[in-house]
Amino acid sequence: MNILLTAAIKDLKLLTRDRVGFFFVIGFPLLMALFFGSIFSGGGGAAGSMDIALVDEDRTGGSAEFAKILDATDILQVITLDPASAMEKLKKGDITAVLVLKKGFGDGSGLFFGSEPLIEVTVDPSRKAEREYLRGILIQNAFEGLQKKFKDPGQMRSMAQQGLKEIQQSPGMDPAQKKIYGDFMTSLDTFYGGMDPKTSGKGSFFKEPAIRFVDFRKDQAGPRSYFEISFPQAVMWGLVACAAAFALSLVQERLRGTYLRLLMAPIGRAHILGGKALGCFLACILTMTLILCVGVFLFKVRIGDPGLLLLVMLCAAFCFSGVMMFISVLGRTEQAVGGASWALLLVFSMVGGGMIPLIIMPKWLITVGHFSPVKWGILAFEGAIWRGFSPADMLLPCGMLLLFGLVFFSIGLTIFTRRGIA
Amino acid sequence: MITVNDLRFSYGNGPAVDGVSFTVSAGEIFGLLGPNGAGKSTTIHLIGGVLSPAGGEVRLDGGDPKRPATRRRLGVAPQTLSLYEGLTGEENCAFFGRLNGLSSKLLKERTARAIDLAGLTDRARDRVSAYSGGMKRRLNLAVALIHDPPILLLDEPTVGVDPQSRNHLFDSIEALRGEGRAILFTTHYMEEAQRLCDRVAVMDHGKIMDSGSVDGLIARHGGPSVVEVEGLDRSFAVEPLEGTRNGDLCRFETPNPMIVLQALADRKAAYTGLRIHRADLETVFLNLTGRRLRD
Ligand SMILES: Nc1ncnc2c1ncn2[C@@H]1O[C@H](COP(=O)(O)OP(=O)(O)OP(=O)(O)O)[C@@H](O)[C@H]1O
Ligand SMILES: [Mg+2]
Repeated sequence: MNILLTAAIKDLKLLTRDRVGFFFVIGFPLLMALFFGSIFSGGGGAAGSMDIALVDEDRTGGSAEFAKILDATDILQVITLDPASAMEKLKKGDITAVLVLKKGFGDGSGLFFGSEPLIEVTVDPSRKAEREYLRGILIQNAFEGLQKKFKDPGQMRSMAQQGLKEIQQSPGMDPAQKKIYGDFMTSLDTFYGGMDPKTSGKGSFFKEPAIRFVDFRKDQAGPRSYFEISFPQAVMWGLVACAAAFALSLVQERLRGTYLRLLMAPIGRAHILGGKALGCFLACILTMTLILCVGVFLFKVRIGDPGLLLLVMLCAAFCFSGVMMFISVLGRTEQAVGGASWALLLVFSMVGGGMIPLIIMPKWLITVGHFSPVKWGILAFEGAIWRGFSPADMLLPCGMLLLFGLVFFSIGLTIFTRRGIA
Repeated sequence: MITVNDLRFSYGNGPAVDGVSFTVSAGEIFGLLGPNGAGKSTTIHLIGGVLSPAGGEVRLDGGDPKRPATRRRLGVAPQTLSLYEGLTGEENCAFFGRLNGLSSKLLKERTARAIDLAGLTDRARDRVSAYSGGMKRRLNLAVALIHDPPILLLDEPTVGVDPQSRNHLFDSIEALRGEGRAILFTTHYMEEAQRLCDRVAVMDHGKIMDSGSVDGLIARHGGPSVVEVEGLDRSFAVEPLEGTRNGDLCRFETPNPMIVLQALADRKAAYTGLRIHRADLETVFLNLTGRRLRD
């Protein structure tokens, strides 16, 4: 252990003395975090696709049709769920919002009398972009169908006259009642009669539909600011840079003869590689700590569960130490390994959501992303920071991180030991 | 003591080391000479336990170098400078000292000594990247000595250094021999070997062509010495001494130049110039390994 630590400390010392390498480990990821954090905090970008859950409390043909209309849009992916599992999914971050269609939605009466909002949207208020997007989409797509029904005053007028006739002809009705309903239908008839079909078609009659937005804050879940999304990404960049830096240092040891000297020292090969892996592990931990400290103290990133965060950090450091071992055998020269490492890690980051947030990624890319440790790393970090993961929720992402670490380390180790010296 | 017995190794494209045997005793410098690609470094790597022999065996004071504990007795200055450029000279020494199990107290003392031996005391706290080639070479040796090993493998320790550094290195190596260490030393520089080595072996194509004391090798493979005499008296008969006359210049090839000199003196022959070419290790080397260029 002493030897491992000696070797690891030597590598850390070397890393901190290499200004460019050090910049990529700490400085660059922080810049990325600030850059993306501030761009998206402005509430700019719109989602390419957004998963939402629909809770149908109305259960009429109207509400079912509404769900279909929403799903048919390019942007929304709608799943119909019961309230409990919808909220569960929202908590986990699998979906962006929960949409509840209240009773009475199907017949549209609520739209008339505007008593209670018939649509309730639960979404994190900090996700301004998604929220506004959703509002726009609901107004534009969903209400169109309902409005069609009422748009034509002629049709409505005949409906009112028909109603009036029925009231007057109904034999068992109390005269006072007859008067009230009759007056109402007459006034409706007058109202529709005075309407110009052209202006009513533009929606002047139906103002913005009543949608109630329910804030879904953490205590429950959801990032409070975009920095809570960009900092987990930055942490991944830091890890990626650590892995690349240590892979490169392993190649340098081999090429510059220090590996030979290490081999002739009274230590085993396991010590040499173990020391390197430990160095990478420690560098990963330090990098994550530094980046997260900046996030927490300067950008108000909240740590939801410090205990789980520690677990995630350990798993992520393990994972990227394994990735380091794998990268180190991607080439035989420093240039080859340097190039290959950035190519591989770029792909990992790209498909894993390290560059573009997962929420605005096309579906297929997200699927490909399952093969990227960056994806699981981000999920795990978000889980500990704002997604409110329980230890059980953490099993999958942390398990995947450990698995990736193990697989990459084994492949790397096998190739490395097979190669001998220089 | 280093014992190498019928050592064999191949990288996969023909043998690199092909049945090499020798021993290096304590207090002795053994020179392994050979052209590029002869297999010197490969032999060193086999002795250091980095490569596994395909045949034969290596013993360091009786131990197998494949075992880490045996390698504690070994100090190596590899042919390629094996230093961390981002660390200082002192830190390089200290790091390898720690790997060799030195305690913190001992480490300080030994580091200072090794740095001093390398003549780097003034620059001990500078990063190696700021060192000159000669300084790096000297540090490369110093790091090998940090744990005071009884056995030293020095793979071309003087390559690319100026005469000052070279002399410093020679003095250091001779001092190390004086302390009773067994030193294996490889080089292409014959005058170096001739000055330092108690015994040498000439190696080529993975085989040892011959080995022994420098004088013994010269006697066996050096060929005759040549005495050249300029402006020698025409009356002096060269034939009895098996000499040849070419205009003003006479050449005598003889195993013993003294015979020619004696003859000149006996007959009081007049001449204007005289040169003696004694066979040296370089001649031995070229005779044993040929003059064809190596890769
Ligand atoms: N890693 C390697 N892979 C394949 N072949 C190698 C390797 N190292 C050395 N060789 C080959 O083994 C032979 C012996 O090489 P070695 O380095 O031992 O020679 P050397 O005597 O040290 O030469 P030099 O004086 O140039 O250092 C050469 O033919 C060389 O090409
Ligand atoms: Mg060599």
